[in-house]
Amino acid sequence: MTDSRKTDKNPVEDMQRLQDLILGEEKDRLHRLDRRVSDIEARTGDVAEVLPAAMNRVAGDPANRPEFERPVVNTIRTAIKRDTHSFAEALFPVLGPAIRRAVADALKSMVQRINVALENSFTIKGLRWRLESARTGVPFAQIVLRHTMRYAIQEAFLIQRGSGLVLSSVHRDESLALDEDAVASMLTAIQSFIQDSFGMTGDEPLRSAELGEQTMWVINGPVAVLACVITGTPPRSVRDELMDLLETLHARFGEGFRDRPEELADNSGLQALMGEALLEEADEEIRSTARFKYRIIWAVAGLVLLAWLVFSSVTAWREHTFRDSAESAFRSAPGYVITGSQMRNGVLALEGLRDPVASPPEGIMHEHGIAAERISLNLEPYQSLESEIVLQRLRRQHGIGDEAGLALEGTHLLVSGALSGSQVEALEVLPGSHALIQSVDLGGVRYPADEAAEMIREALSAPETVHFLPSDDSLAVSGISSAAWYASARESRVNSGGWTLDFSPLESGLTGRLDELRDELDGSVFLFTNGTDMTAESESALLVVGAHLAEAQQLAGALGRELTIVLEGLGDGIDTFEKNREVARNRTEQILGEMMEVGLRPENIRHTIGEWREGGMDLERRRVTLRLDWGEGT
Amino acid sequence: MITRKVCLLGAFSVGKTSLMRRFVHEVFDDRYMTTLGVKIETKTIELEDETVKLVIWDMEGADPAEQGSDLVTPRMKAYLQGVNGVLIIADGTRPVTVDIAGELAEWVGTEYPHVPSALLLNKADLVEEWKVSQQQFDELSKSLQCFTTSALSGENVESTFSCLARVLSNNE
Repeated sequence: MTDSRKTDKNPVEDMQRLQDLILGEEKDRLHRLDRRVSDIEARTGDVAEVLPAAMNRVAGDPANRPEFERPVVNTIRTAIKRDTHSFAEALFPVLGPAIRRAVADALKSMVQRINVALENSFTIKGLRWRLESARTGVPFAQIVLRHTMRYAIQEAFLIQRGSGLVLSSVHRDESLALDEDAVASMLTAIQSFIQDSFGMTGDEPLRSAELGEQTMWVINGPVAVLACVITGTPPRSVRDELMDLLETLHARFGEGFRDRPEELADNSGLQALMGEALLEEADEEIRSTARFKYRIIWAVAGLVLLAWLVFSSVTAWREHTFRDSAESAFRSAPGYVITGSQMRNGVLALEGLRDPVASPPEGIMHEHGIAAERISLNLEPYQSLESEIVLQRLRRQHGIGDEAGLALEGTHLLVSGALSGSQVEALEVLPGSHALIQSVDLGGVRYPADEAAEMIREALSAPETVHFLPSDDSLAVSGISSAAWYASARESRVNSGGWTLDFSPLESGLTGRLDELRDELDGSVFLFTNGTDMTAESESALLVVGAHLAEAQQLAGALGRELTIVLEGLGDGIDTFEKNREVARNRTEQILGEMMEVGLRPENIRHTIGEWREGGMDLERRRVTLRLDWGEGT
Repeated sequence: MITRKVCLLGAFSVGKTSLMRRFVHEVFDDRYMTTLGVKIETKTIELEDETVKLVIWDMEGADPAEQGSDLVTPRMKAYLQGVNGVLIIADGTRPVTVDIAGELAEWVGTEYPHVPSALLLNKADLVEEWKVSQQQFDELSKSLQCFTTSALSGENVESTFSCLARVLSNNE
């Protein structure tokens, strides 16, 4: 029925009505969905709602994680290539601390091991460990590590499951590395053997094995197995950490482990991840003890260093002082030129020049209190022009002793004191022949007494009766000489060889002679027989008196005295006064004439007439009396 | 350097361990010691353009009488996982070992069709005592590369392993 009505209408409308009847509700829902899908804002909101949960889900699924990671990694890689600067800036706060922490951890670990090794190197424990090392053949470093670590993973192998081929391996100590392929293969074989022998399935693999004092942990993954050789007793959490690491390895390289193991041989990322498997933890007690002992060791080392520094400083200062004083002593010594010095093992090596005339080095060292065993001299000979050395050389060359004085004023040589004639002659020719001396003053030279006496005797033509005898700083002239020679010698200015001539002894002798003559001559009487006729005795006496008076006159002149001869004539009482007066004058003039004949100077002769007395003939009064008047000098 | 896993298969007392020792250590010990499970040695071979490290798995002898019809035990199958090359060893003086070698070769060809393998007819120093017929040898040679070796004298040992290493290096 209904069907007959339907056939009368438009088939399209019928179909439409039929769809509305059957799919009406779904159609509305489809329209709503279509609108929602077309609305970008609504769709964004929908995706935002499920995206975090979806990402977490995929990230936690090892099977799908690579598919999720690949586009993310590619996108990040492209972004980094396009805008490197922004990424570097963003990562900078993270990378810096991370690198610092890694470096600090590495240094800390290394220092800790060195500390322990040092600490135990010279202790009973250290010796015991060394014995253990020698007995077992295990290197000392490994023994130390074994005893000081609560646990440490020494080696880790990443093994391809099934084949037993090694995919990667890391070792704490490369020198201890085993044949990793043999180890890995044998481990795999053991795994297979155990599973086969005990009827175990692949889900119950070998988890650990004891190898002497070492433990091997086997962390099984779907494609690869991580086998770790461990010393000590690691906590359970370490296995979890290793499991996490193995998961990370599978996530990043699982496909390569299975299909392209060769390509991973040199993969730095794989090696870096494997490095994280070498976990360790030091024994806290040992570590704290080590820290304490380490502080003591450092303190002792610091003290030793300080002592060494003080010792070195004092030694250096003493060497410096010694070097300065020794150099100064030789530099200030005449005839030495120091050109270089060097301290060698506490001995000062001095190099330079030395004049052979200079003081011996031993004397200089002794004078300055320098230990001779601490000095090594290498001195070449040379001629010094220092005044002291020049004078010293002159003394040596010419045998001039200390009694003579030599001095240099610039180029002028002053000579004084006792020198021989030959020495004087040698010094006289120095100007023109000596490099330094241009003039010589020999005024202060004094010859030896005998040499000087001979020289003076010759110069003064001294008679043999005159003697020159040294007395203090003078030559005493003594003996007997003529007044004329005495007078001439006193006045002469001959070279006396540096001696002062002391004529006082000779003068004293001459004065004595003069006194003798005075005593002898004063009051001499010449008698006359008649008129001016002298008696024969008086005539003879007059010759002697005349000669002596001439001598006395010379002596007086030489001695600086004035001698006046007074002749007093007398007559007797016969005849008149005038007559007698004339006779008396004639008699004195006759004597005067005779005296002038012998050389007496008339100005030194005075004559007078004696008092006349009336009376008879008196022969005694017929005379001339001679008197000597010495003037003020007498 | 590439690393390749090589397994030595064969009946017991055919000289697998002796061949491995001759190749790796260049020594021969006439004392016989049965291998239980597997022994593993490594040796590096310098080829013209490549260095190959062979990890040699010397397996215990296959014994059909003891193992029944299962010539390759589950344990041996486990050992063979990831194998890159197989050397099947037989004793020329014992025909039964050649038969076992043939069976093993067939099994390897089935399970590991892309893995290079070869038959080593050992104890060439006792060739006068060989009881392998030429027909039997020719038959094996049709499906498998065959070598005659002597662990005692070292004959063909080094060259055979080197040949395998070369094949494995080209079979990357």
